Amino acid sequence: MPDTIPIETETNPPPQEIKKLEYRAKPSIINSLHKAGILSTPLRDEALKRVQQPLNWLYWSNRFLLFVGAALILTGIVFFFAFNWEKMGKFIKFILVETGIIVSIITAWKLGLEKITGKVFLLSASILVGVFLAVFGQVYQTGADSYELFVGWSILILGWVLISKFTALWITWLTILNIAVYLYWDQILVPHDITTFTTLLVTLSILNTAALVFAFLGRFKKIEWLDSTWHYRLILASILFFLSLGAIQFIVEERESSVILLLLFVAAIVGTYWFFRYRSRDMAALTLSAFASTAVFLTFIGHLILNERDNDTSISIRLFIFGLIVIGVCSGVVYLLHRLAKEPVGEHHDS
Amino acid sequence: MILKTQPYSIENLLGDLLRSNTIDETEEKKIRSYLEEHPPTSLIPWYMKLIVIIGAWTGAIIFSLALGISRIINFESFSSTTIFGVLFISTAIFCYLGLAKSKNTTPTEASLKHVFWSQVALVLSVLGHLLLLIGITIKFHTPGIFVLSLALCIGLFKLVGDSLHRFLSCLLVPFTAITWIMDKNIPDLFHILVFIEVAILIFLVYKKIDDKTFKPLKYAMVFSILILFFILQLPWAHHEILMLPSNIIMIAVLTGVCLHAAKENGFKIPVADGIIVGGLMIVCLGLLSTPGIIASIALLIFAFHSRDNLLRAAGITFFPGFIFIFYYNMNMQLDEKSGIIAGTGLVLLGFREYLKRRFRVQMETMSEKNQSEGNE
Repeated sequence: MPDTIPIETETNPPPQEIKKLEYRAKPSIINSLHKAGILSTPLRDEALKRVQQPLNWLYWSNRFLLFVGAALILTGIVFFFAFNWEKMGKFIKFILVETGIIVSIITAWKLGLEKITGKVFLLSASILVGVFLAVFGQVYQTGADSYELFVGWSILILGWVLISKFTALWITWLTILNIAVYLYWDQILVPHDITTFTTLLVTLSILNTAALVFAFLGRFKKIEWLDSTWHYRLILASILFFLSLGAIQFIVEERESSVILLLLFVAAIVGTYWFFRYRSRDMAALTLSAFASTAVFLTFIGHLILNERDNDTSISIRLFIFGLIVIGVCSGVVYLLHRLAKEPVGEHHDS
Repeated sequence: MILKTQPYSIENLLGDLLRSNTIDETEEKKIRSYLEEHPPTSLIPWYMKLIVIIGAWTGAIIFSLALGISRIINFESFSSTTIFGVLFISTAIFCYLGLAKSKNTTPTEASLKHVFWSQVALVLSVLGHLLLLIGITIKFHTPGIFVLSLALCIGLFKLVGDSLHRFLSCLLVPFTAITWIMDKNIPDLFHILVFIEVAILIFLVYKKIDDKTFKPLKYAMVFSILILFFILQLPWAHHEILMLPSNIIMIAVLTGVCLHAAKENGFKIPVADGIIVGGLMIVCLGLLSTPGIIASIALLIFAFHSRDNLLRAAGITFFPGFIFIFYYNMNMQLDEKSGIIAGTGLVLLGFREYLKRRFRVQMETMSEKNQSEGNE
């Protein structure tokens, strides 16, 4: 395993290949060259032909009519069933949903999970499982808590998630799991006074951190379906969100039990900084981390400056100072990020 | 490890042009030298710009709160709001003019500073406009704010070079006009407002005035028309206002857009097809639909033709909203509505089939070309 795994993005080309003009060739750049007299009109047209795909009106109108027509037909069907839902017998309801699941599964099988359309049908089947459980709960009025629906849903579709090799389905499953944890906390633990909001945030952070670790293990092992960046950024954003919430709670409510969240938050920020600067450079992830730190820091400063009740003049002076601090901190953070972005990928820096 | 497909860069373009002998090395050097001196500001990723923008706006709002709490600005006084409004706008103009003249920093640093100071100036200008509007409303009511917004838009248009400022300034004018019309309760004037905005758009497009200066005006007119139709279609409004005049205007716009796109792309529409399709369009859309739906269809066609992603996004956003409100407002049971919705969908799919059969050869050629280029 290499020491560093640079992620090449539009803003971070590898140092030995840095060419100044690696940014996307947009029509606006070509037009500005033409306007400045650098490119003649025939040259501009030639450059635009290379940069822009030729307009395919038939393809566009075909897709537009297909999408809108199909969406309207599906909407009409959904509204029809919504209107007649109460009048329908329970078996009709089950047959409808189960038919949807079976058709989606068969279609996914026929198309194959190598194709994106096959994966999308498997995703549809997974979502319909949730619909089925909801209908089941509605028809039989079992009195079960809704967290059980989400727990059952996540267990039932786990097999499909594992074989699908589809990031969107994996993220959907993770979202269902997060909701299940929250609902369990809200419906079982809180009424019995067993736990606090802090415990919920810690649990969700640990759960999503495990998911993040899994995502990166997959990337290190070069598993293709885990190769994209959007999913781990989304998971990272959720972790930072939960921990930021906890840190802010500690600052604002001064609750001792929340100190663990503050410590976890600091650890997350330090860990994110180290990992995404030195191990697997990703400016978007570093920016998320910087944004979370800025939010917590400014909450701390704001709480310090604005907490005391005073006369209007004093409050307005403190607000003014706080406004200056907000602008200064945000600008400083972006300046540091921008300096970081200009660093060559793969080098270690002591300062 | 490259984790996503590299975009087609300027470097790639220069390489391709050199290899095909379209340009020589001297021309390549000129292009490089120009782009090194004038790099596009998008070198700063959008998420970093977002932090700058949030910081600037938050700070400025806090400053305004500070001024308000300290009673330095009295929001109920014409003189206080007007004086501070003028002060804020003047400071904003000063910032913008300073930015325009700034020469001493390197291009990338200028971009970051430019983003920050242009946001500060924008916030000051927005606050200044709001204070002036509050002040003028106190003294002159709704006609006054329309005249003020128009005067500010025209006065600041050339003075302030920032596109977002121009856009917001131009957008304010129709909204103050709407406020005036609603205050006077003369709903027919809405159609005149739509007509004027469409006339401005036609002028800009017909004269091919598409440079950076007037694009914000174009966008402001488009968005204000869409938002106006959206407001007029809301359930509380739509029963009271006759929308037929705007329907007629929008059908004319849609026809014009289709003909313009056909002419620009070299399509020759057969007369019979034109009469059938045009006639169906007028009957179905003109009489049975709403101006919002027609406007968003025209916008989608125009956006595709002009490759404008912002307009495309606007069309994609507003079109389902207009469809939803149209069906929501229908005075019938849900099962009848569901039949009409599904029926509309079938009509569209039927029209798609017609196009496929009518232009089968062209579509097959396109499909083969896509396959050979490996796009499928």
